Amino acid sequence: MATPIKDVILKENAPVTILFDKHIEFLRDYGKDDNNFEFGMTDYLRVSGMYWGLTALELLDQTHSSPQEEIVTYIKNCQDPETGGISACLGHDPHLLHTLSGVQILAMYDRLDAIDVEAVVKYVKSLQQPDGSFTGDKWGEVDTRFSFCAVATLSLLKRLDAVDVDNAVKFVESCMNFDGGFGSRPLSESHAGLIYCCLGFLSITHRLDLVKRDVLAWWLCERQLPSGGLNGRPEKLPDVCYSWWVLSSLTILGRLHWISGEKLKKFILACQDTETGGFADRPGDVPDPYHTVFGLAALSLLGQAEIKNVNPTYCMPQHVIDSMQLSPQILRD
Amino acid sequence: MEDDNSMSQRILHTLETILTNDPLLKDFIIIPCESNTKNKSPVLYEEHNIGLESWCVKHIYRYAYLELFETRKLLAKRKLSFSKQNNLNRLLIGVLLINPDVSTFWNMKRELVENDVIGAANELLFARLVLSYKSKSNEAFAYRRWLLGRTLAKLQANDLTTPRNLLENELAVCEMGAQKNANNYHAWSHRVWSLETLGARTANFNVIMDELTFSEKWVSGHVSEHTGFHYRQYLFNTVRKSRNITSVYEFYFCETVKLLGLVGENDPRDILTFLLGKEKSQGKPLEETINFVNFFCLLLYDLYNVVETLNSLYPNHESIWYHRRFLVYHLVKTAHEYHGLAFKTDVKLDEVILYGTNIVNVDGEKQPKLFKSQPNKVQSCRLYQTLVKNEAEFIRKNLVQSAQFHELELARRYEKWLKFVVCMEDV
Repeated sequence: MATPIKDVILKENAPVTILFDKHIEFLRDYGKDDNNFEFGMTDYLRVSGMYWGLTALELLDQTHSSPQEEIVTYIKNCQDPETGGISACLGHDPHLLHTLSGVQILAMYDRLDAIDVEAVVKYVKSLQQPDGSFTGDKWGEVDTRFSFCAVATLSLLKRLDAVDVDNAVKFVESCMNFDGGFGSRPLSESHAGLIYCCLGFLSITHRLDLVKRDVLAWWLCERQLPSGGLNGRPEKLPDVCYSWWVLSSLTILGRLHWISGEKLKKFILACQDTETGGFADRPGDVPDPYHTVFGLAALSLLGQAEIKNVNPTYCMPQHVIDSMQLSPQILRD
Repeated sequence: MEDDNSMSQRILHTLETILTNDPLLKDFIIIPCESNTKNKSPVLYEEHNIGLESWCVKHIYRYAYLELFETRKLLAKRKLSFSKQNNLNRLLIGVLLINPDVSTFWNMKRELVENDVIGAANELLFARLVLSYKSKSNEAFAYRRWLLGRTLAKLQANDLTTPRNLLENELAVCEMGAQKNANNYHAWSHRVWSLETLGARTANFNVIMDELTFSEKWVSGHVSEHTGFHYRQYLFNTVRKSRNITSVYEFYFCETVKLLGLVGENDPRDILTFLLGKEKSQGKPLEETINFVNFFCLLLYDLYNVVETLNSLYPNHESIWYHRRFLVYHLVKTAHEYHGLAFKTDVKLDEVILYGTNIVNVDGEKQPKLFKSQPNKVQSCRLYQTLVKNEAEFIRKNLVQSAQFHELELARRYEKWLKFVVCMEDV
């Protein structure tokens, strides 16, 4: 009566070291080859895509090789003159997700002066609802992801005071479940990605005192599977992006040592594509910049010396957070 | 290019015509097909299902995409004539069926709705069709919520009640999404939203009752989907809080009476006294007592019937174990509330330093010893005593049955969770 566990088996010949040069090549060339994707199919996530790729390159200490001026101009052009929000791509509608990504890239380049900061602040402010929650754009969809995007954006702009933080905290708190986790809205199921958003939010607003620290850390630890990989919910397959969501959450809670870092590292390394470079969600799948940045960031949290330190709250290089004099809350004993 | 465009226009026209004329559309799918070999229309339409041959997808998408962004700004500024806006809908149908992740296109649809070019009823059908193909599309679910929000506002403005079929429709769409994709977070979140937003206004006592029956059937058929269990937990919590439930759920009450081996228990309050002892503050309003009794009966029903059965038929599913945690946790928590006692759960577990290992996998003995106190009213009540005995036995039974490491782990983790989170020291 054995029930097979939903997990993967790592192959004997899976990579066990970081394939630096391959990843640099992969990240630089991604999207250049038009055959990689059909016309216009990925436009809708371009600015976030740039954030993933550029952050990954910076963690590998390769920022000098990217065309900074071109990137800054592109983001500047994606800022909507009417609302102040940033869109995923020229001509698309502005959205909070891409507003954060754009601001993160500019902060990394120390070029926040390139956009109309006041307009971004006004945009974020306009999306806060009476119950403290944030919508992703003017059409009214509420999600805890947007609460995180709002405070992360404003804190990078040093304008957290522009919104009602206490009310925003109340909303996030109302999304907490009995298991200590958080979902996308009140009454929604606990989900590792949304737990990261809520903990990141509480870290920026310095309200981690509201968290059921060890009950939540316990739930997060149980995401580790025999392969070493982490899943995002019970009985789901492991995925490299959850290495980041779960690991950064545990770091914020000061409980990183509650899981086996060695086994996780082995899993993440096995998700590298030895031919093309880049990380995939699971060993053998097609790599992309999204899983690449989260794979590298997770390895950084696990103490991989060759990768620059990453900040668990912002998923940005620690030196950027330091030079901006930001100090998101982290629980320590 | 000219040829390409006129072909794309024809295909889009065909799709639009089907969508306007068939309110019973079921599924949309893109059929892998490398080239146009048969020289026939790539739109297949049979028994209310649409198939689109994949060779034409990139042509249509490119054509519609360029046309749409030509006019994006004009539409937003309301500078397009009605007929031009009408043409946009045809293009939007095409791009969104192919790539429903593009929020700008959904926003353009919203603007067409606001301008009365297209109507909410048809749009709900369209969003459903998109979900038949991409059942995890949160954009499509969000569009439904936006449409329904408008509909509700209109009904309210005219003092009309919410028709029941609005809710029924949503429940059916959510079930379709849940069937097509296991653990479909967006589909189940939408179900919760529908019940909260539409269910609350439909003011129908039986909705929750029906949903309880539905969810029991669902979890029994999908034991590894935690999302389904979470939905059931949401329903339980709703029963606990609801002001609309004014009588005891007879079925669950009778099951509980049977389970506890009680005879002639007619006053629902007696069940509480039997399980928990005398209440601290007597004379609570009746509705509150009814909610309390219903909640208790549901928790006990699931613990001793549903979970018991599922666990023996399908052992070693983390989702079932997690549901068990929910049940025991809430039984203990609610018992505390009944006695007016505080229930604290956030235990500090980090006294033991366990670097480089997974704490939840570590032997029980290495765990910190908790401060042992005098049993309080909860710990000495019949329910608690039974739970402690029953759960200990259940854990032992599972440890004996299990052969593999992860199977043993599930039982061990549960034991530790009870000890350190629920503070059931004697398990």
